[in-house]
Amino acid sequence: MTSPVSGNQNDPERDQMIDTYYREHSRELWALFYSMCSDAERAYDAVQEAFLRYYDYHGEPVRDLRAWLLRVGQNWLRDVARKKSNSCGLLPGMDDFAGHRESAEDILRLSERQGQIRKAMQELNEDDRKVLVMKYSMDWSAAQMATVMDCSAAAIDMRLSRARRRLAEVLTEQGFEYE
Amino acid sequence: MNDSSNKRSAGKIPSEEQMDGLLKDFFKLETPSGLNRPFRRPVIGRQQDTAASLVTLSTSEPTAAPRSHKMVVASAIAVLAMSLIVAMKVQTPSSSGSSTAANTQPTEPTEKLMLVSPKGEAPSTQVVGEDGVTFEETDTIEVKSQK
Repeated sequence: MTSPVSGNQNDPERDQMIDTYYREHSRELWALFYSMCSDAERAYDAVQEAFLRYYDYHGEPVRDLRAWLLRVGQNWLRDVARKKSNSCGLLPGMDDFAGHRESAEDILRLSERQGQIRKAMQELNEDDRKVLVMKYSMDWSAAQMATVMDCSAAAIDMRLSRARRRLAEVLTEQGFEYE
Repeated sequence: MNDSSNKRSAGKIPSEEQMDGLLKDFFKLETPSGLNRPFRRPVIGRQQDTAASLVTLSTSEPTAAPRSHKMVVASAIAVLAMSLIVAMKVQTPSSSGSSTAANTQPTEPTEKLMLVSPKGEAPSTQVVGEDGVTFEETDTIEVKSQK
């Protein structure tokens, strides 16, 4: 997508364009960032950061906004990875504990399972992660994924099947208990 | 190589369907809910929005009421002050007569005294009263209580 305007923050046309683009593409960007870092919150932050930087952007008109946002998000993820500290964070799913009917034990178990799968995902290569994220997070078809990954739909199907199998192997090695 | 193949054979590798379900559940929980919400604008943008909303609010009736209330109070105070000034001005002519009278009353004796001796440097040998007593003679008069 080409961005015809840039830099003017008071331009309602530009604001609307950003809103529309965010609505349509934020999920895809999140999936791509997630496949890079395997951290849902960080990937979400990368999406926000990319859009905020574009919102504040005052340079030349952006030819390909998707590529621009992807590059900004990737750079941000790299910076964060470099500065990564050992700070203590909440377990995923524990921050909204109050709204759950399940017991704390169930939530903890669920959180552990999520952590195990996340860790196993990190063992896969980036392309395998990407197809899994596109398929299961965005519910994309093989044809859609093929466009993004610049290959055939048949190749995507093969890659998807292989990625699932690899993940299953890694999880089994980790002693993951299937329900 | 043998170790890894042994490990794999040790555990039961799940089927494609199992993995499919597992991954669906995993990503359902993993995807942040914030992605379904609209783009969070930076503070500057929000200020503009707030300013715009304030403008729209100021034009609406509920917020206009306090402003008109203030205007009513201010105009009422102004009218009160004006009427007070007018009342004071109305009262002034009538009361000024009495006040001048009151002011002149203490000066009256001095004016009468001046009549006794209209010219300060003139000799006080002129007749003051009807009985022909001069001003000089009044000094010698001794006032005694009547028995």
